[in-house]
Amino acid sequence: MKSYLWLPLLFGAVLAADKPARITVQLDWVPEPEHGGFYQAQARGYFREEGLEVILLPGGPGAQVVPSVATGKADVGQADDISTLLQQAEGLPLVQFAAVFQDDPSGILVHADSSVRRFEDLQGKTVIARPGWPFLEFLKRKYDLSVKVVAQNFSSAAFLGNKEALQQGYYIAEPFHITQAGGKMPRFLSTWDAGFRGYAVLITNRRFARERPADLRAFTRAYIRGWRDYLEGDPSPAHTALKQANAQNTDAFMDFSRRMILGEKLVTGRDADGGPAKVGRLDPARYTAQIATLEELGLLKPGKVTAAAALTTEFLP
Amino acid sequence: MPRPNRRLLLPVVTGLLFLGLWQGMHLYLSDDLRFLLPSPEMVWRAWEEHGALLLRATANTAQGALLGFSLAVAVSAGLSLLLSLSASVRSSLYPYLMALQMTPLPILAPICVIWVGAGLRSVALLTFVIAFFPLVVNTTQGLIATDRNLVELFQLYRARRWQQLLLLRIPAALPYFFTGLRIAATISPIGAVVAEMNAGSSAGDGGGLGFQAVIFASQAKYAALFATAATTCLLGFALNAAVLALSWSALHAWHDAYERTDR
Amino acid sequence: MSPSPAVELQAVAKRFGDGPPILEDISLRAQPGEMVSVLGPSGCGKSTLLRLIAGLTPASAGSLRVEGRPAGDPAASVAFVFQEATLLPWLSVRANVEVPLRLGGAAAVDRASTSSRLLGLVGLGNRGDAYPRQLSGGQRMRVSLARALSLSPRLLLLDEPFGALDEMTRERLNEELLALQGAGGWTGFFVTHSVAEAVFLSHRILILSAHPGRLHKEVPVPLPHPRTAETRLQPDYLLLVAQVSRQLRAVSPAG
Repeated sequence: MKSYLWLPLLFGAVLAADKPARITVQLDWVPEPEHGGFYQAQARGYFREEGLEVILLPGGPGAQVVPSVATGKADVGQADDISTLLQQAEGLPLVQFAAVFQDDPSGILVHADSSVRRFEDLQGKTVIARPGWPFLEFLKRKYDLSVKVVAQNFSSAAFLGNKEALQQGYYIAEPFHITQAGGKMPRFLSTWDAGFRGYAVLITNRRFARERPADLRAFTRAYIRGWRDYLEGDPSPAHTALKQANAQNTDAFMDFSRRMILGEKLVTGRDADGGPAKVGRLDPARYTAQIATLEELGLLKPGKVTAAAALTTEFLP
Repeated sequence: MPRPNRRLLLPVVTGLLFLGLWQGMHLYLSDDLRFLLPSPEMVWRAWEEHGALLLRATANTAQGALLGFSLAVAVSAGLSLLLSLSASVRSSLYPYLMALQMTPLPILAPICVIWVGAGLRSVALLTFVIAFFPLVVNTTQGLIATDRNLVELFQLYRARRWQQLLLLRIPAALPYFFTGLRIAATISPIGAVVAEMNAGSSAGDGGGLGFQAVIFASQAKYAALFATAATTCLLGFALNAAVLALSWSALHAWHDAYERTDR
Repeated sequence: MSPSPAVELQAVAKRFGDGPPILEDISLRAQPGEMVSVLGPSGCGKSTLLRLIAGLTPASAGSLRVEGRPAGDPAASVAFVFQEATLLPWLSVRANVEVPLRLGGAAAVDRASTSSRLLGLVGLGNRGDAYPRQLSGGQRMRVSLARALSLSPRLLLLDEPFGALDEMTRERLNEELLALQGAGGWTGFFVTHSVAEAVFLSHRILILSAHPGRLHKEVPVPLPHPRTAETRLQPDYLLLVAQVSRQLRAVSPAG
């Protein structure tokens, strides 16, 4: 090619290279330390280094992560893997590609003085939860319980008002709010104690995975880097950003949440093989076991979803 | 074609066209997005699969809707009489009634739950809040909008206040009351369903249609969600039909709206 | 001297609040059994005059007496027939006629016999169970008349009752009204726009001028009773109609 043609081409390439690729992320709740990986990566410039411009969309009580990601309104979303499996069984074009938490910190909040101590004690009780919460369905079938569900209103008021109240909550958040409101530190019936080993995951839609694998890989790299830096290093860049994103994030709350995440090894894993290398990793064997359990308990129709179809590890570093 | 047959046939034809269009759109969507619009057949199958569940849910929702609706009728009757007494009474109370009406249900719901507990009580209470305003407004209007000439006639015959109320204002207000009743009947099931989403409980025989809708939505069972929506519509139609029948029996003998026309 | 007047007004005036006077210095008398018509241009206060006599609104000045009692007195038996039939649409014809009796606390049996009789009198004996919506304008007005007569009033005030009806119906109702008066013996005050109607019905015609309403002229109508359809063809009748029309034109605004 003639030499003078190279120049504009080069110029164009440089311009194009300069333009960062956009990725929108739909968060599943208002920005909180559970999203520490994102905010640290962003504050530290890890996404930028990978040539990405990441838009974090806050969620809330009505957050519709899955429809958003499934229809392509958002590219990436944060969700729990078991609900996602059930939705993938309904034909939603989603794929799970990275772990946020090795164990989903959802569970049942119980008052310190409540008579409920074990899962079996839930018999005949009323739980304030999201109707259709898979964990509750799992418990009902595993322990042969009949439990009443009352629609979740995302306020602690109902819980605080009644000593025998039981409420679905996030281990790393609600207990703080409850002690702040003057209650005693509540106990927690966690999913992992019942053998319900769910992940909190990052999901994307199939088209995005098909069309922009390089960006997704770069994104995952930066995210894992951000998560590790948040947990092992100085979390203040993320905390500053979190405070900006959500005025309810006080230093006390964020410290509590982060401590709980570290204390329960939620990101690095509670099992023997847990550690920094596990951050973001998904284990297909665990998925196969989950799917089998769900099918056994009648929560999933057999053959509707397989581990191979539901998740992918191709974007993990 | 004889007229009555045509009236029944037209909606059926439109319905079939609509179903065809629906099926077409479902097939037209890409594989990735087909989940957005389940086909009519998928919705029908969902209805079959969850039939018993939806029936139970309908019974629950109907209970809540009817309870709230009946309460609204009773309270609004009394309240309308009170409001019809004087313009000062109306000025003092209307703004607060309106404020109650304008508070969105998702904000009232948690308050109701704390006060009376989730489940049927909250659903009935919230349905009541939604349904009573159109009833009050219409009935009050009916009570105060009595034909001036008739009022004068009663004055001429020296009717006492209670006679004027019982023999004139209340019968004259009936058409207005039934208008309010029809509106309330339409929005009561909707109110009950929304209430269930925010304040429902699975106690008793499981939650109502709203409660079930939340479950289906969270599981992305969209075909079942469509089926739930259709069931809610049917419930609304049923309640409406009941009120129309009531309205007809009370008014058809004398009200202009029921005049037989040749068209 | 004739028996005490059924209606007597002396220097009656009426204004609403600070508004212009509607009626000024009205003095008139009506004898028992008389039919007096009130004619005048729009705005002369004819309807207001009737309402004053009925006691529906108080006079601003002057005195009104009905059968020796002040206007509006409960004991004076006065009935009013409006421009519209003003029937209660949710009641049957019979029940409508019974309304005044019902308000007065009469027993059902008495109500039934009175309403049957009156409906017979106005020619609607077989329509008792119909609803107002099923009746024609003329029929509804007949029900209104029957209702007005249900308490056997001594004074009947009629405010353009036949104005909305067609000519033929109106003429027939005029004849029926006179028959009812013959049977009942009540005194009648009849407000109308129609000179022909006024002449046909009345013993005397009062012509009012407008802004404010004042008594312009009193015209006696010496036509013989009973008055029938034939009366309308008599030269005396036609002459009177012409004369009264001229009087009326004199007080009506130009154009």
